Amino acid sequence: MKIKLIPNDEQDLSKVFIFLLPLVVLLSASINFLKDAFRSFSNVLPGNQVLNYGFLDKLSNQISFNFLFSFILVVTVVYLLSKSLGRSIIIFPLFFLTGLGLIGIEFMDVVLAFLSPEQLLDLGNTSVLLLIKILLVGAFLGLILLNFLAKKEPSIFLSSQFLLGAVVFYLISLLIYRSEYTVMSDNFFINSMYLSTHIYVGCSFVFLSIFYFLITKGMQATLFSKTLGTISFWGYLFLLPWTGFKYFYGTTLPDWIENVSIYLSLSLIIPLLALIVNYSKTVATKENKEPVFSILISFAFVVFGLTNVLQIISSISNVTPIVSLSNFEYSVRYGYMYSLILILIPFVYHLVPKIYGREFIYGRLETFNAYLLGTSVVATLSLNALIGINSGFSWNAGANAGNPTIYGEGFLITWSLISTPYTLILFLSLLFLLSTFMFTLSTLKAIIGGSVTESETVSEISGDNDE
Amino acid sequence: MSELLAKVAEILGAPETLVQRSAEARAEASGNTVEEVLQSWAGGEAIAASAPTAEASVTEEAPVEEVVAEEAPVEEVKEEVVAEEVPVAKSVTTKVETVIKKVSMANNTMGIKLNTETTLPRWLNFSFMIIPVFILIGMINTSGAQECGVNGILDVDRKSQQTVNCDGSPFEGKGVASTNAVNYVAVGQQVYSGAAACAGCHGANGGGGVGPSFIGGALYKTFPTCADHAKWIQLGSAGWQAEVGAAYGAEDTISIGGMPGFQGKLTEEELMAVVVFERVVFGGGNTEEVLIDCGLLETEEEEENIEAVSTTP
Repeated sequence: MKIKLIPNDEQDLSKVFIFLLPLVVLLSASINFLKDAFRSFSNVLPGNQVLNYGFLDKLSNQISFNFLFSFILVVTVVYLLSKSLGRSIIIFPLFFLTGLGLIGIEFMDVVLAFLSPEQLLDLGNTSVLLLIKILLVGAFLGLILLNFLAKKEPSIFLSSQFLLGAVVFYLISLLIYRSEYTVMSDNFFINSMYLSTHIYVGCSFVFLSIFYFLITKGMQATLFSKTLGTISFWGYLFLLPWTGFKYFYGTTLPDWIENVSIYLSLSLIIPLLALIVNYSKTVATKENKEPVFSILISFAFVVFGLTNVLQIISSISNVTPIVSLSNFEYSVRYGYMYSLILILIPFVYHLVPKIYGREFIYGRLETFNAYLLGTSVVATLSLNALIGINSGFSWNAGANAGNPTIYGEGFLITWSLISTPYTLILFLSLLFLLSTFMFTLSTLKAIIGGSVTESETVSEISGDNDE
Repeated sequence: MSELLAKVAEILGAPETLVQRSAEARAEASGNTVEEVLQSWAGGEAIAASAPTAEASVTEEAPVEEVVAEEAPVEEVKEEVVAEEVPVAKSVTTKVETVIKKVSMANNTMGIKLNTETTLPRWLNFSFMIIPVFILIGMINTSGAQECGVNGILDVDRKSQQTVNCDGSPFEGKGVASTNAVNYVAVGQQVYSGAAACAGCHGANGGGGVGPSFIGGALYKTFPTCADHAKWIQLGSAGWQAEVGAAYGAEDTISIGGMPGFQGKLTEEELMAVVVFERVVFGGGNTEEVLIDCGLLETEEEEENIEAVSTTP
């Protein structure tokens, strides 16, 4: 195994990233577990400026939604962009530096959080580094657009479309983000816009980019319909940015925006249907019969579909007031993130032979891990949804009686309803941590000790752009 | 073999993988080897040895024997046999074209195939048409909810956070006497959205949320009089339970705790202002009547009485 720290091309860079990726996932799962532990057992655990639920929650958000997300985004762009455009990346040194800078600046936010915990905002970013992030993502987007202009494939494959969309919305989310609010409704509005553009759209698009690559190239199947792929692309692009506002139903946000959010969330059924039909019909023609690989992709798809269903359910007029301002939104937020992590695992397994020229063998460890990952993630999402409904019901029951239960004694009643699911989530976080550890082990084992096989080389279509 | 495959692929203008698959399928169906099939496609002999064709030529050979006696027509019959071979080759080509038509390349670099003869299920097409229509109807129906001016709802200036009329002009309270120094509605609105954060639970437009709704007559149903309303805000549910009892309001709603008491947190004026604001803006009450009910404005009769008392020696 030879990894170049200064890579010459995207293949070399992918080598570095595939090696580091499982470690970043492991870091994210560890902080998530620690956060859950401090939520349920803060009274028996040692606490200080860093070891407390409030700080760990923000840190977990920074690591999962910003650092890990940017890492996955850059990895996917580096590998998939050149392949789907039919050419090696142009101005590669600049591309490499921008990608590295983007990951570096998100990591810097993690380091900065320990140095000055009060600087870290609710969703992870610090206002100090926000401007540099905007510049770097802007540069990254510019380089991607240059590559699009110089493409050699006659048409743009769905994976590239989704990647471009993800980077555009990453930039939008950073432009939206603010650290200080003067008006309460601005806080709700901006938080909601940031959640929708950064997490809902960002994670979904990177997920769909890898997903379309794996169900066609990975499974060696024939893509059923490009039209359905395009419907899901434009559908999610127009609908997802609006879906966050409904979780602030009944607050100081204007009513019209809450109503629009509710109806556009219901419309998510259109791209979801397109995706389900495209997936099932495409997978029916698969030639890759490796069951673990298929199971991992299926689990990722189930989690993504479930997240969409939760979005749709929470838009039903009788349900929205119950789940608004409750933990229900967490299951949606984490649903998108978990589906991305789940699809990442078969992606890495698929790339190990291609990048390193080492065979990846699906043994008992990988089979066990696939089921463990899938079940722990699905159970976590369901429990978060249950917590949202329980607390929402409790608050509404109190409110209908003229006594909101978010204060004092009422809060204790609510807590008694949700503390058991929280403890179960802690246990599932532990299982998830274990799964990510096993994933790291499998990947490193294959990279270091796998039998030698033919690796992929950087290929480029001869001639000019066909269009 | 691979050269032959490449040649055929070039002739047919199709990817090698597809030609290989088609040749394999053809070979399996015809009982020939893949190489023979490829040779026939490359311009060599047609697959005369294929099972069904062989049978056909055997049956067609029978008349040849009959004609053998007359030597001359033999050649004609031979021509007929040759003529029979042409459609076989044609059908092979047509079949190959059909297979190739169905699949094209979605991405050449990655070798991702795309089904080009996809017909979407009818139910899916129907769903794509009908769902947006329902969504649109729903959006239109709800777009008019809680508009400015309905149920006495006023607008809020986003920058100053002051209550304003629907046209953006400053709101000074309906029928507030000019002698009244305090604009209770405007102050109440500020308290409602700011200091007391009532809006967080009861909604910016009083539509409810975590806390109960005030609009649609709900407020006056629970608190027909200003005094009860003010006392509830002052004491909160805990204070009410201790001082008054388990039930509150005109409908004897059972208090189970939750509403914070604002005594000491708001000044007397702020507390009354928020009561007036809620009763006027969300309850739809007349400002003057509300102020009178709350004891913040004296009626003309009272004023006259006061004047009479003050002028009495």
